[in-house]
Amino acid sequence: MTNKLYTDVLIIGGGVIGSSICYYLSKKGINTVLVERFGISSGSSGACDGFIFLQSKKDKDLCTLTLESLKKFTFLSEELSYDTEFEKCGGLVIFTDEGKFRLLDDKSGNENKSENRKRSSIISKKDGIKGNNYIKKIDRLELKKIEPFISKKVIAATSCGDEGQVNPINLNFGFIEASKRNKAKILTYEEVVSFNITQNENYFNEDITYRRKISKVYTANREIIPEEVVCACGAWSKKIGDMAGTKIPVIPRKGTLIVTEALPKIINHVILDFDYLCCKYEENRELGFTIEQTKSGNLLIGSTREFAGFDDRVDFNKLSKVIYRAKEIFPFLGEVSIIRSFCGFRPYSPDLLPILGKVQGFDNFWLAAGHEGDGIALSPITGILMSELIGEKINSGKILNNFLGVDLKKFSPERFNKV
Amino acid sequence: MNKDEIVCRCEEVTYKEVLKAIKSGCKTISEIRRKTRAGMGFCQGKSCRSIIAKMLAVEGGKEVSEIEVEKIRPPAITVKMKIF
Repeated sequence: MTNKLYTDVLIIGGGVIGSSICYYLSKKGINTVLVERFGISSGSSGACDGFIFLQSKKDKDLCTLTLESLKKFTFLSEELSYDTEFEKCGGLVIFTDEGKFRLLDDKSGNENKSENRKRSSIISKKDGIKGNNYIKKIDRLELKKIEPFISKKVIAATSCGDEGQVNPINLNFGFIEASKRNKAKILTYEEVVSFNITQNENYFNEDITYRRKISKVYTANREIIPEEVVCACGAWSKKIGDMAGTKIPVIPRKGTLIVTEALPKIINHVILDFDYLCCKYEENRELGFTIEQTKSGNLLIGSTREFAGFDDRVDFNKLSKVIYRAKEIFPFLGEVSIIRSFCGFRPYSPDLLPILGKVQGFDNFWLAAGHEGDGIALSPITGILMSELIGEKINSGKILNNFLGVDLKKFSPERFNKV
Repeated sequence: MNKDEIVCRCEEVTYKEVLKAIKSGCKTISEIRRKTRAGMGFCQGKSCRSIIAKMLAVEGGKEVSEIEVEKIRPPAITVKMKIF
């Protein structure tokens, strides 16, 4: 092994999360190296939609983080000198079923309806989102004005003006290019193959605790000696965890997306079917409908939420069902051509919250994964949070447990080690 | 080849832009596609894929046969959604 590389922080994973962490660390002047086994954006960040959605964030703290992320997005293109195609176009959650829409108002504590209550609470209305009228209800007439091509079957919607869209691939490359300017080293087509782990004995009140440290990281032709190691491998994080000898509970949740030919501006918002939101919280549902029009004019139609391992073949039956629903909601789509379809893997975390923080039992191993469908929306704030945590540890040896008023215990990897 | 010549006609990506992507570290056709949009248009790279493979080979000092073949995404030809 001839090629030795010393660094303060090593990030594994060149997706949007890894590159964001890389950017914010290098911005602080911390010596950073990023390794990616294929090209930039070759995993989920290159096979997803660009929704930045607030209405789907049920958790209060997740909402706080998303709102902060949104603030960053507004000037990120300028900061990175890269066009992320961010647009605050507003988001809609659409309803085709009157009953489900009424559930939003159902605040009665009827326990028999717990299933319904669960569904209505899926749309976060007050907790994290400031202001009473932040999420507006819209009737069919108003909907027709703002989204003229929508079908009559859609009886109502909820809208949030601050939601928007971004081009995830551009965002990813933007972070990478800006990191390079900040002197970070980006190594693509280099896969991490193994770790060298040393054990330290710590004596505390006569108890011996063993703390492990990743002292060396090997790729096919290089030996990297890092101070800190960050795993940002999304759905593939488990593999890195296995190498380190710790269990990372992230599994892939597959989504299928369809891209159409480019059209003139025809859809004004990022649109999510209410049933799609339910998919996230109900494990046995897997079909939903989402649509956005990208800056290039192509429509991006999704999506499924399946547990199917890493099988990246497009399932024709499921694709047909998504298209069927799409045509139901936007009848003009029948005349529009599909140019490609593909699958991506959301990093699913068992409690539907991202896993951010230091891995228990290790001195220098960090995890930032498990964002499921929110990775793009949360990427800037994840980068900032992780760079604060790691920067603080490098500078003062302390581990922060609070960030923007959010208790980080909730997101820490330790939460899965209990019981 | 003229530097402003268009390599990907659907997305109007020039030779210069693809070359810049290769110089910035892109090593496969799919990474160039993501960075420049070459191959993301209506024909899905049917015309530009081979030109880009050749460019990668020339710049990397390789044979075209050594360049990784891009995964073809369905459908093979564009289809209207009404057939579903």
